Amino acid sequence: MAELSELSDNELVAEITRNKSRALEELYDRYSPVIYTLAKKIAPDEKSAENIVVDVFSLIWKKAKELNLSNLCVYTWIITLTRNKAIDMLKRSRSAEATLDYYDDLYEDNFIIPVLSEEAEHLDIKQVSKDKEKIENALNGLTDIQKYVIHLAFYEGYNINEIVERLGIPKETVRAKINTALNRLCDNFYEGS
Amino acid sequence: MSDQAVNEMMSAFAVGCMDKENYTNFKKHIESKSDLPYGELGRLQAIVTMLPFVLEQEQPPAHLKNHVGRRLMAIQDEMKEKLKSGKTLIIDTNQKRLTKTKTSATNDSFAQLAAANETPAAAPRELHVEKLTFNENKITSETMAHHSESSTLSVLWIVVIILILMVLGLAYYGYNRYYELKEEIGKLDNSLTSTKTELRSTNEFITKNAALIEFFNYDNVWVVPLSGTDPSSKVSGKLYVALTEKEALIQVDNLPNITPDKTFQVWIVSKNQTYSMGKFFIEPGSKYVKLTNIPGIPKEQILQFKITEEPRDGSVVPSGQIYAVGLAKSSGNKTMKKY
Repeated sequence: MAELSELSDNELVAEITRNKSRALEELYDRYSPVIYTLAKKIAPDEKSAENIVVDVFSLIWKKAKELNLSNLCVYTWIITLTRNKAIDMLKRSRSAEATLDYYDDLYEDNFIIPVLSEEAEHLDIKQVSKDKEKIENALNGLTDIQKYVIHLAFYEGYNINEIVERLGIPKETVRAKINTALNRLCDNFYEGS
Repeated sequence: MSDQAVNEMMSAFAVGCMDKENYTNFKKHIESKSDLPYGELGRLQAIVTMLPFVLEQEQPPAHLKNHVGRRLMAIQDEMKEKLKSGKTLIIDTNQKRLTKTKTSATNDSFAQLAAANETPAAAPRELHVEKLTFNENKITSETMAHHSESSTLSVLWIVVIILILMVLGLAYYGYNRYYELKEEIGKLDNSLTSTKTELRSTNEFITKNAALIEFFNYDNVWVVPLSGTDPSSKVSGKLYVALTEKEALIQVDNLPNITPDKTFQVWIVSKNQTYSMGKFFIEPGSKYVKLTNIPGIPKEQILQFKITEEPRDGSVVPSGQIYAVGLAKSSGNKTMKKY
Protein backbone atom coordinates (compact mmCIF):
# COMPACT_ATOMS: atom_id res chain seq x y z
CA MET A 1 0.00 0.00 0.00
CA ALA A 2 1.29 3.46 -0.95
CA GLU A 3 2.30 5.83 1.78
CA LEU A 4 -0.50 8.11 2.76
CA SER A 5 1.69 11.12 2.15
CA GLU A 6 1.97 10.14 -1.49
CA LEU A 7 -1.74 10.03 -2.05
CA SER A 8 -3.61 12.93 -3.59
CA ASP A 9 -6.22 14.78 -1.57
CA ASN A 10 -8.99 12.88 -3.32
CA GLU A 11 -7.29 9.53 -2.75
CA LEU A 12 -6.83 10.46 0.87
CA VAL A 13 -10.50 11.28 1.25
CA ALA A 14 -11.35 7.98 -0.42
CA GLU A 15 -9.39 6.28 2.37
CA ILE A 16 -11.24 8.35 4.92
CA THR A 17 -14.54 7.07 3.55
CA ARG A 18 -13.26 3.60 4.46
CA ASN A 19 -12.83 4.82 8.05
CA LYS A 20 -9.07 5.00 7.82
CA SER A 21 -8.28 7.40 10.63
CA ARG A 22 -4.62 7.56 9.55
CA ALA A 23 -5.81 9.07 6.28
CA LEU A 24 -7.65 11.74 8.19
CA GLU A 25 -4.51 12.36 10.21
CA GLU A 26 -2.56 12.85 7.00
CA LEU A 27 -5.25 15.22 5.74
CA TYR A 28 -5.01 17.08 9.03
CA ASP A 29 -1.29 17.44 8.65
CA ARG A 30 -1.76 18.86 5.15
CA TYR A 31 -4.67 21.19 5.76
CA SER A 32 -4.51 22.23 9.38
CA PRO A 33 -2.18 25.22 8.80
CA VAL A 34 -4.34 26.88 6.12
CA ILE A 35 -7.55 25.96 7.98
CA TYR A 36 -6.21 27.32 11.24
CA THR A 37 -4.90 30.45 9.52
CA LEU A 38 -8.21 31.11 7.81
CA ALA A 39 -10.17 30.35 10.97
CA LYS A 40 -7.98 32.67 13.00
CA LYS A 41 -8.39 35.42 10.40
CA ILE A 42 -12.18 35.29 10.58
CA ALA A 43 -13.07 34.00 14.06
CA PRO A 44 -13.45 36.43 16.97
CA ASP A 45 -10.80 34.73 19.11
CA GLU A 46 -8.24 31.94 19.15
CA LYS A 47 -10.38 29.51 21.07
CA SER A 48 -13.09 29.86 18.46
CA ALA A 49 -10.52 29.29 15.75
CA GLU A 50 -9.42 26.04 17.40
CA ASN A 51 -13.03 24.93 17.70
CA ILE A 52 -13.50 25.64 14.01
CA VAL A 53 -10.56 23.41 13.12
CA VAL A 54 -11.95 20.55 15.21
CA ASP A 55 -15.41 21.02 13.73
CA VAL A 56 -14.10 21.06 10.17
CA PHE A 57 -12.29 17.73 10.52
CA SER A 58 -15.26 16.25 12.36
CA LEU A 59 -17.43 17.20 9.43
CA ILE A 60 -14.97 15.73 6.95
CA TRP A 61 -15.00 12.46 8.91
CA LYS A 62 -18.76 12.48 9.11
CA LYS A 63 -19.69 13.71 5.64
CA ALA A 64 -17.00 12.32 3.36
CA LYS A 65 -18.88 9.24 2.28
CA GLU A 66 -22.30 10.83 2.39
CA LEU A 67 -21.28 13.66 0.05
CA ASN A 68 -19.04 11.52 -2.13
CA LEU A 69 -16.29 13.95 -1.30
CA SER A 70 -13.63 11.95 -3.08
CA ASN A 71 -15.19 12.97 -6.41
CA LEU A 72 -15.25 16.68 -5.66
CA CYS A 73 -12.50 19.22 -5.45
CA VAL A 74 -11.38 18.41 -1.91
CA TYR A 75 -9.33 21.57 -1.48
CA THR A 76 -12.12 23.96 -2.54
CA TRP A 77 -14.60 22.06 -0.43
CA ILE A 78 -12.52 22.12 2.73
CA ILE A 79 -11.58 25.80 2.43
CA THR A 80 -15.18 26.82 1.68
CA LEU A 81 -16.36 24.72 4.63
CA THR A 82 -13.84 26.38 6.90
CA ARG A 83 -14.85 29.81 5.74
CA ASN A 84 -18.58 29.06 6.20
CA LYS A 85 -18.05 27.70 9.72
CA ALA A 86 -15.89 30.67 10.69
CA ILE A 87 -18.29 33.27 9.28
CA ASP A 88 -21.21 31.59 11.04
CA MET A 89 -19.33 31.70 14.33
CA LEU A 90 -18.37 35.33 13.71
CA LYS A 91 -21.95 36.38 13.00
CA ARG A 92 -23.23 34.63 16.12
CA SER A 93 -20.62 36.35 18.23
CA ARG A 94 -21.31 39.80 16.75
CA SER A 95 -24.61 40.47 18.39
CA ALA A 96 -26.63 38.85 21.18
CA GLU A 97 -29.72 39.92 19.30
CA ALA A 98 -28.67 38.23 16.12
CA THR A 99 -31.55 36.45 14.48
CA LEU A 100 -29.53 33.62 13.03
CA ASP A 101 -31.24 30.26 12.79
CA TYR A 102 -30.68 27.59 15.39
CA TYR A 103 -27.64 25.54 14.47
CA ASP A 104 -28.88 22.04 13.83
CA ASP A 105 -28.24 19.38 11.20
CA LEU A 106 -30.64 21.01 8.77
CA TYR A 107 -29.05 24.42 9.15
CA GLU A 108 -25.63 22.88 8.76
CA ASP A 109 -26.61 21.06 5.55
CA ASN A 110 -28.23 24.17 4.09
CA PHE A 111 -25.74 26.91 4.98
CA ILE A 112 -22.46 25.41 6.14
CA ILE A 113 -21.78 22.43 3.89
CA PRO A 114 -20.48 23.84 0.58
CA VAL A 115 -22.15 23.36 -2.76
CA LEU A 116 -19.59 23.28 -5.52
CA SER A 117 -19.82 23.37 -9.26
CA GLU A 118 -19.18 19.92 -10.65
CA GLU A 119 -16.94 21.51 -13.27
CA ALA A 120 -14.64 23.06 -10.67
CA GLU A 121 -10.99 22.41 -11.30
CA HIS A 122 -9.62 19.79 -8.92
CA LEU A 123 -7.09 21.74 -6.90
CA ASP A 124 -4.52 20.12 -4.71
CA ILE A 125 -3.23 21.84 -1.61
CA LYS A 126 0.32 21.11 -2.49
CA GLN A 127 -0.13 22.80 -5.86
CA VAL A 128 -2.01 25.73 -4.36
CA SER A 129 0.67 26.30 -1.75
CA LYS A 130 3.21 26.41 -4.54
CA ASP A 131 1.08 29.02 -6.35
CA LYS A 132 1.09 31.38 -3.37
CA GLU A 133 3.14 34.00 -5.22
CA LYS A 134 0.82 33.91 -8.22
CA ILE A 135 -2.16 34.47 -5.99
CA GLU A 136 -0.49 37.40 -4.32
CA ASN A 137 0.31 38.93 -7.66
CA ALA A 138 -3.20 38.38 -8.91
CA LEU A 139 -4.59 40.03 -5.82
CA ASN A 140 -2.25 42.97 -6.14
CA GLY A 141 -3.67 43.53 -9.62
CA LEU A 142 -7.00 44.56 -8.09
CA THR A 143 -7.93 48.06 -7.07
CA ASP A 144 -8.21 48.90 -3.40
CA ILE A 145 -11.98 49.03 -3.52
CA GLN A 146 -12.09 45.67 -5.27
CA LYS A 147 -9.84 44.17 -2.60
CA TYR A 148 -11.94 45.79 0.10
CA VAL A 149 -15.26 44.44 -1.13
CA ILE A 150 -13.73 40.98 -1.43
CA HIS A 151 -12.39 41.34 2.10
CA LEU A 152 -15.76 42.47 3.43
CA ALA A 153 -17.50 39.59 1.70
CA PHE A 154 -15.05 36.74 2.21
CA TYR A 155 -13.39 37.50 5.54
CA GLU A 156 -16.02 39.65 7.26
CA GLY A 157 -19.07 37.72 6.06
CA TYR A 158 -21.10 40.75 5.00
CA ASN A 159 -23.76 40.25 2.39
CA ILE A 160 -24.40 42.69 -0.44
CA ASN A 161 -26.95 44.72 1.48
CA GLU A 162 -24.59 45.10 4.43
CA ILE A 163 -21.73 46.11 2.13
CA VAL A 164 -24.03 48.68 0.52
CA GLU A 165 -24.72 50.04 3.99
CA ARG A 166 -21.07 50.18 4.94
CA LEU A 167 -19.84 51.74 1.72
CA GLY A 168 -22.82 53.88 0.99
CA ILE A 169 -22.85 52.91 -2.66
CA PRO A 170 -25.69 51.44 -4.71
CA LYS A 171 -26.35 47.70 -4.67
CA GLU A 172 -25.76 47.40 -8.41
CA THR A 173 -22.35 48.96 -7.95
CA VAL A 174 -21.43 46.52 -5.19
CA ARG A 175 -22.55 43.56 -7.30
CA ALA A 176 -20.60 44.81 -10.27
CA LYS A 177 -17.50 45.45 -8.23
CA ILE A 178 -17.52 41.99 -6.69
CA ASN A 179 -18.03 40.40 -10.08
CA THR A 180 -15.31 42.49 -11.66
CA ALA A 181 -12.93 41.82 -8.81
CA LEU A 182 -13.30 38.07 -8.96
CA ASN A 183 -13.10 37.92 -12.71
CA ARG A 184 -9.99 40.07 -12.73
CA LEU A 185 -8.49 37.93 -10.01
CA CYS A 186 -9.11 34.87 -12.16
CA ASP A 187 -7.71 36.55 -15.23
CA ASN A 188 -4.65 37.76 -13.33
CA PHE A 189 -4.02 34.36 -11.82
CA TYR A 190 -4.44 32.29 -14.97
CA GLU A 191 -2.69 34.82 -17.20
CA GLY A 192 0.17 34.75 -14.74
CA SER A 193 0.55 31.04 -15.43
CA MET B 1 -31.99 36.96 -16.82
CA SER B 2 -29.03 38.61 -18.55
CA ASP B 3 -25.58 37.09 -18.64
CA GLN B 4 -24.30 40.01 -16.62
CA ALA B 5 -26.84 39.31 -13.86
CA VAL B 6 -25.97 35.59 -13.87
CA ASN B 7 -22.26 36.37 -13.62
CA GLU B 8 -22.87 38.77 -10.75
CA MET B 9 -24.91 36.14 -8.95
CA MET B 10 -22.22 33.53 -9.46
CA SER B 11 -19.56 35.88 -8.12
CA ALA B 12 -21.66 36.78 -5.10
CA PHE B 13 -22.27 33.07 -4.46
CA ALA B 14 -18.61 32.16 -4.89
CA VAL B 15 -17.35 34.84 -2.50
CA GLY B 16 -20.18 34.16 -0.01
CA CYS B 17 -21.98 37.51 0.13
CA MET B 18 -25.47 36.46 -0.90
CA ASP B 19 -28.25 37.04 1.58
CA LYS B 20 -29.96 33.96 2.98
CA GLU B 21 -32.88 33.89 0.57
CA ASN B 22 -30.82 34.38 -2.58
CA TYR B 23 -28.25 31.90 -1.34
CA THR B 24 -30.93 29.23 -0.78
CA ASN B 25 -32.47 29.81 -4.20
CA PHE B 26 -29.16 29.80 -6.05
CA LYS B 27 -28.06 26.68 -4.20
CA LYS B 28 -31.25 24.91 -5.27
CA HIS B 29 -30.59 26.12 -8.79
CA ILE B 30 -27.15 24.43 -8.78
CA GLU B 31 -28.40 21.26 -7.09
CA SER B 32 -31.16 20.90 -9.65
CA LYS B 33 -28.48 21.18 -12.36
CA SER B 34 -30.23 24.07 -14.02
CA ASP B 35 -28.69 25.88 -16.93
CA LEU B 36 -25.61 27.71 -15.62
CA PRO B 37 -22.06 28.22 -16.77
CA TYR B 38 -20.76 25.69 -14.27
CA GLY B 39 -17.21 25.96 -15.60
CA GLU B 40 -17.17 29.67 -14.83
CA LEU B 41 -18.72 29.08 -11.43
CA GLY B 42 -16.09 26.46 -10.65
CA ARG B 43 -13.33 28.87 -11.65
CA LEU B 44 -14.70 31.59 -9.40
CA GLN B 45 -15.13 29.22 -6.45
CA ALA B 46 -11.59 27.92 -6.90
CA ILE B 47 -9.97 31.34 -7.07
CA VAL B 48 -11.74 32.51 -3.93
CA THR B 49 -10.45 29.54 -1.97
CA MET B 50 -6.90 30.39 -2.92
CA LEU B 51 -7.08 33.68 -1.04
CA PRO B 52 -6.23 32.20 2.39
CA PHE B 53 -2.82 31.22 1.05
CA VAL B 54 -1.99 34.89 0.74
CA LEU B 55 -2.14 35.05 4.55
CA GLU B 56 0.84 34.24 6.69
CA GLN B 57 0.34 30.55 7.38
CA GLU B 58 0.28 29.53 11.03
CA GLN B 59 0.78 26.12 12.50
CA PRO B 60 -2.03 25.16 14.85
CA PRO B 61 -1.16 24.35 18.44
CA ALA B 62 0.08 20.80 18.95
CA HIS B 63 -2.76 19.83 21.27
CA LEU B 64 -5.29 20.61 18.57
CA LYS B 65 -4.53 17.41 16.74
CA ASN B 66 -5.39 15.37 19.81
CA HIS B 67 -8.55 17.35 20.24
CA VAL B 68 -9.53 16.39 16.73
CA GLY B 69 -8.67 12.75 17.43
CA ARG B 70 -10.70 12.72 20.62
CA ARG B 71 -13.62 14.33 18.86
CA LEU B 72 -13.53 11.65 16.19
CA MET B 73 -13.38 8.94 18.84
CA ALA B 74 -16.39 10.48 20.55
CA ILE B 75 -18.20 10.52 17.21
CA GLN B 76 -17.33 6.89 16.69
CA ASP B 77 -18.53 5.92 20.18
CA GLU B 78 -21.73 7.85 19.64
CA MET B 79 -22.32 6.08 16.36
CA LYS B 80 -21.85 2.72 18.08
CA GLU B 81 -24.30 3.71 20.79
CA LYS B 82 -26.80 4.80 18.19
CA LEU B 83 -26.38 1.48 16.40
CA LYS B 84 -27.15 -0.39 19.58
CA SER B 85 -30.26 1.62 20.30
CA GLY B 86 -31.30 1.44 16.67
CA LYS B 87 -31.57 5.19 16.37
CA THR B 88 -30.31 7.44 13.66
CA LEU B 89 -27.01 9.04 14.46
CA ILE B 90 -27.26 12.76 14.96
CA ILE B 91 -24.10 14.46 15.87
CA ASP B 92 -24.01 18.05 16.84
CA THR B 93 -20.94 19.51 15.26
CA ASN B 94 -21.67 23.02 16.35
CA GLN B 95 -18.88 24.84 18.15
CA LYS B 96 -18.01 23.19 21.45
CA ARG B 97 -15.63 24.16 24.14
CA LEU B 98 -12.61 21.97 23.97
CA THR B 99 -12.32 20.21 27.27
CA LYS B 100 -9.79 17.71 28.35
CA THR B 101 -11.22 14.25 28.73
CA LYS B 102 -10.09 11.50 31.01
CA THR B 103 -10.10 8.84 28.37
CA SER B 104 -6.42 8.35 27.92
CA ALA B 105 -3.08 9.39 29.28
CA THR B 106 -1.49 9.35 25.85
CA ASN B 107 -1.57 12.40 23.56
CA ASP B 108 -1.87 10.42 20.36
CA SER B 109 -5.64 10.17 19.98
CA PHE B 110 -5.33 9.44 16.28
CA ALA B 111 -3.30 6.38 17.21
CA GLN B 112 -6.03 5.30 19.58
CA LEU B 113 -8.62 5.93 16.92
CA ALA B 114 -6.59 3.95 14.45
CA ALA B 115 -6.10 1.17 16.99
CA ALA B 116 -9.82 1.07 17.66
CA ASN B 117 -10.57 0.93 13.95
CA GLU B 118 -7.82 -1.38 12.80
CA THR B 119 -7.69 -4.00 15.60
CA PRO B 120 -9.72 -7.10 14.66
CA ALA B 121 -10.98 -7.61 18.22
CA ALA B 122 -12.08 -4.02 18.44
CA ALA B 123 -15.61 -2.72 18.05
CA PRO B 124 -17.17 -2.90 14.59
CA ARG B 125 -14.77 -1.41 12.07
CA GLU B 126 -17.27 -0.56 9.44
CA LEU B 127 -19.37 2.41 10.35
CA HIS B 128 -20.53 3.54 6.96
CA VAL B 129 -24.14 3.42 5.90
CA GLU B 130 -24.44 -0.11 4.46
CA LYS B 131 -22.96 -1.91 7.44
CA LEU B 132 -24.89 0.40 9.70
CA THR B 133 -28.06 -0.90 8.08
CA PHE B 134 -26.97 -4.53 8.48
CA ASN B 135 -26.18 -4.14 12.18
CA GLU B 136 -29.40 -2.19 12.67
CA ASN B 137 -31.37 -5.15 11.28
CA LYS B 138 -29.65 -7.53 13.67
CA ILE B 139 -30.22 -5.28 16.66
CA THR B 140 -33.77 -4.51 15.50
CA SER B 141 -34.82 -8.23 15.51
CA GLU B 142 -33.50 -8.58 19.08
CA THR B 143 -35.25 -5.40 20.04
CA MET B 144 -38.43 -6.61 18.36
CA ALA B 145 -38.27 -9.90 20.28
CA HIS B 146 -37.91 -7.97 23.50
CA HIS B 147 -40.74 -5.67 22.52
CA SER B 148 -43.03 -8.56 21.57
CA GLU B 149 -42.32 -10.20 24.93
CA SER B 150 -43.30 -7.02 26.74
CA SER B 151 -46.35 -6.69 24.52
CA THR B 152 -47.44 -10.27 25.33
CA LEU B 153 -47.11 -9.60 29.04
CA SER B 154 -49.09 -6.40 28.71
CA VAL B 155 -51.79 -8.20 26.73
CA LEU B 156 -51.94 -10.92 29.40
CA TRP B 157 -52.37 -8.35 32.12
CA ILE B 158 -55.10 -6.62 30.18
CA VAL B 159 -56.89 -9.94 29.65
CA VAL B 160 -56.66 -10.76 33.37
CA ILE B 161 -58.03 -7.37 34.32
CA ILE B 162 -60.88 -7.73 31.83
CA LEU B 163 -61.71 -11.19 33.22
CA ILE B 164 -61.75 -9.87 36.78
CA LEU B 165 -64.02 -7.02 35.75
CA MET B 166 -66.32 -9.46 33.96
CA VAL B 167 -66.51 -11.70 37.03
CA LEU B 168 -67.24 -8.70 39.25
CA GLY B 169 -69.87 -7.52 36.81
CA LEU B 170 -71.50 -10.94 36.70
CA ALA B 171 -71.43 -11.20 40.49
CA TYR B 172 -73.04 -7.80 40.84
CA TYR B 173 -75.68 -8.65 38.26
CA GLY B 174 -76.33 -11.99 39.92
CA TYR B 175 -76.65 -10.38 43.34
CA ASN B 176 -79.06 -7.80 42.06
CA ARG B 177 -81.06 -10.37 40.14
CA TYR B 178 -81.29 -12.64 43.20
CA TYR B 179 -82.78 -9.90 45.27
CA GLU B 180 -85.12 -8.88 42.50
CA LEU B 181 -86.33 -12.43 42.17
CA LYS B 182 -86.62 -12.76 45.90
CA GLU B 183 -88.76 -9.63 45.98
CA GLU B 184 -90.88 -10.92 43.16
CA ILE B 185 -91.36 -14.24 44.92
CA GLY B 186 -92.40 -12.34 48.03
CA LYS B 187 -94.94 -10.40 46.02
CA LEU B 188 -96.20 -13.57 44.41
CA ASP B 189 -96.46 -15.16 47.82
CA ASN B 190 -98.50 -12.25 49.06
CA SER B 191 -100.65 -12.37 45.98
CA LEU B 192 -101.14 -16.08 46.42
CA THR B 193 -102.05 -15.65 50.04
CA SER B 194 -104.59 -12.97 49.26
CA THR B 195 -105.91 -15.07 46.42
CA LYS B 196 -106.22 -18.03 48.77
CA THR B 197 -107.94 -15.85 51.29
CA GLU B 198 -110.27 -14.58 48.62
CA LEU B 199 -110.87 -18.06 47.42
CA ARG B 200 -111.55 -19.25 50.93
CA SER B 201 -113.99 -16.48 51.55
CA THR B 202 -115.55 -17.16 48.20
CA ASN B 203 -115.83 -20.78 49.08
CA GLU B 204 -117.33 -19.88 52.40
CA PHE B 205 -119.72 -17.55 50.68
CA ILE B 206 -120.62 -20.19 48.21
CA THR B 207 -120.96 -22.71 50.97
CA LYS B 208 -123.10 -20.39 53.00
CA ASN B 209 -125.11 -19.23 50.08
CA ALA B 210 -125.27 -22.37 48.05
CA ALA B 211 -129.00 -22.59 48.46
CA LEU B 212 -129.41 -19.01 47.34
CA ILE B 213 -127.05 -19.47 44.42
CA GLU B 214 -128.91 -22.52 43.32
CA PHE B 215 -132.21 -20.76 43.75
CA PHE B 216 -131.11 -18.03 41.41
CA ASN B 217 -130.94 -20.57 38.65
CA TYR B 218 -134.66 -19.98 38.41
CA ASP B 219 -136.07 -17.35 36.17
CA ASN B 220 -137.93 -14.44 37.73
CA VAL B 221 -137.10 -14.84 41.38
CA TRP B 222 -139.27 -12.50 43.47
CA VAL B 223 -137.40 -10.97 46.37
CA VAL B 224 -139.59 -9.70 49.18
CA PRO B 225 -138.00 -7.98 52.19
CA LEU B 226 -139.22 -9.21 55.54
CA SER B 227 -139.44 -7.17 58.69
CA GLY B 228 -140.82 -7.46 62.21
CA THR B 229 -144.31 -6.31 62.99
CA ASP B 230 -143.14 -4.41 66.05
CA PRO B 231 -141.06 -1.30 65.56
CA SER B 232 -138.73 -2.53 68.24
CA SER B 233 -138.44 -5.92 66.60
CA LYS B 234 -135.11 -6.85 65.15
CA VAL B 235 -136.50 -9.49 62.88
CA SER B 236 -135.44 -8.99 59.27
CA GLY B 237 -134.78 -11.01 56.22
CA LYS B 238 -135.72 -11.78 52.68
CA LEU B 239 -138.16 -14.12 51.03
CA TYR B 240 -137.13 -15.32 47.59
CA VAL B 241 -140.13 -16.62 45.70
CA ALA B 242 -140.05 -18.52 42.44
CA LEU B 243 -143.75 -18.70 41.68
CA THR B 244 -143.32 -20.64 38.46
CA GLU B 245 -141.24 -23.31 40.12
CA LYS B 246 -143.40 -23.14 43.25
CA GLU B 247 -140.44 -22.79 45.49
CA ALA B 248 -139.37 -20.22 47.99
CA LEU B 249 -136.25 -19.49 49.96
CA ILE B 250 -136.41 -17.81 53.29
CA GLN B 251 -133.58 -15.93 54.87
CA VAL B 252 -134.58 -14.38 58.18
CA ASP B 253 -132.59 -13.20 61.15
CA ASN B 254 -133.38 -12.67 64.82
CA LEU B 255 -136.42 -14.89 64.99
CA PRO B 256 -136.97 -15.83 68.60
CA ASN B 257 -136.33 -19.27 69.90
CA ILE B 258 -139.53 -21.25 70.10
CA THR B 259 -140.38 -24.33 72.08
CA PRO B 260 -140.04 -27.70 70.44
CA ASP B 261 -143.79 -28.06 70.17
CA LYS B 262 -144.02 -25.03 68.00
CA THR B 263 -142.92 -24.23 64.45
CA PHE B 264 -142.66 -21.22 62.11
CA GLN B 265 -145.04 -21.18 59.20
CA VAL B 266 -144.98 -18.97 56.13
CA TRP B 267 -148.26 -17.70 54.62
CA ILE B 268 -149.30 -16.07 51.36
CA VAL B 269 -152.00 -13.55 51.98
CA SER B 270 -154.10 -12.89 48.92
CA LYS B 271 -157.26 -10.86 48.45
CA ASN B 272 -159.60 -13.66 49.25
CA GLN B 273 -157.64 -16.09 51.24
CA THR B 274 -154.47 -16.97 53.11
CA TYR B 275 -152.44 -19.89 51.91
CA SER B 276 -149.69 -21.75 53.71
CA MET B 277 -146.34 -21.85 51.92
CA GLY B 278 -144.86 -24.28 54.40
CA LYS B 279 -143.32 -24.51 57.83
CA PHE B 280 -139.75 -24.46 58.97
CA PHE B 281 -137.48 -24.66 61.94
CA ILE B 282 -134.44 -22.55 62.62
CA GLU B 283 -131.40 -24.75 62.20
CA PRO B 284 -128.17 -23.46 63.57
CA GLY B 285 -125.59 -22.76 60.81
CA SER B 286 -128.19 -22.78 58.10
CA LYS B 287 -128.85 -19.39 56.70
CA TYR B 288 -131.59 -20.29 54.25
CA VAL B 289 -134.67 -22.43 54.43
CA LYS B 290 -136.12 -23.82 51.27
CA LEU B 291 -139.85 -24.26 50.82
CA THR B 292 -141.17 -26.36 48.03
CA ASN B 293 -144.65 -26.88 46.60
CA ILE B 294 -145.79 -23.48 47.54
CA PRO B 295 -149.25 -22.54 46.30
CA GLY B 296 -149.33 -21.32 42.73
CA ILE B 297 -151.07 -18.05 43.42
CA PRO B 298 -150.83 -15.41 40.68
CA LYS B 299 -148.53 -12.71 41.72
CA GLU B 300 -151.04 -9.92 41.25
CA GLN B 301 -153.34 -11.53 43.78
CA ILE B 302 -150.74 -11.74 46.50
CA LEU B 303 -150.97 -8.95 49.04
CA GLN B 304 -148.33 -9.99 51.52
CA PHE B 305 -146.33 -12.76 53.08
CA LYS B 306 -146.07 -13.45 56.76
CA ILE B 307 -144.31 -15.70 59.18
CA THR B 308 -146.22 -16.90 62.24
CA GLU B 309 -145.64 -19.20 65.11
CA GLU B 310 -147.89 -22.27 64.82
CA PRO B 311 -148.17 -25.65 66.47
CA ARG B 312 -145.55 -28.11 65.46
CA ASP B 313 -147.71 -29.90 62.95
CA GLY B 314 -148.66 -26.68 61.27
CA SER B 315 -151.95 -24.89 60.91
CA VAL B 316 -154.55 -24.49 58.24
CA VAL B 317 -154.97 -20.82 58.92
CA PRO B 318 -152.54 -18.43 60.61
CA SER B 319 -153.39 -18.39 64.27
CA GLY B 320 -150.15 -17.75 66.10
CA GLN B 321 -148.05 -14.69 66.65
CA ILE B 322 -146.90 -12.91 63.55
CA TYR B 323 -143.13 -12.40 63.62
CA ALA B 324 -142.36 -11.08 60.17
CA VAL B 325 -144.27 -9.58 57.31
CA GLY B 326 -143.32 -8.89 53.74
CA LEU B 327 -145.54 -6.72 51.59
CA ALA B 328 -146.04 -7.81 48.04
CA LYS B 329 -145.92 -4.31 46.61
CA SER B 330 -143.34 -2.58 48.78
CA SER B 331 -140.49 -0.48 47.33
CA GLY B 332 -137.98 -3.06 48.49
CA ASN B 333 -139.44 -5.76 46.22
CA LYS B 334 -137.33 -6.85 43.33
CA THR B 335 -137.68 -9.32 40.64
CA MET B 336 -134.36 -10.96 39.81
CA LYS B 337 -134.21 -12.29 36.33
CA LYS B 338 -131.67 -14.82 35.35
CA TYR B 339 -129.49 -13.75 32.40
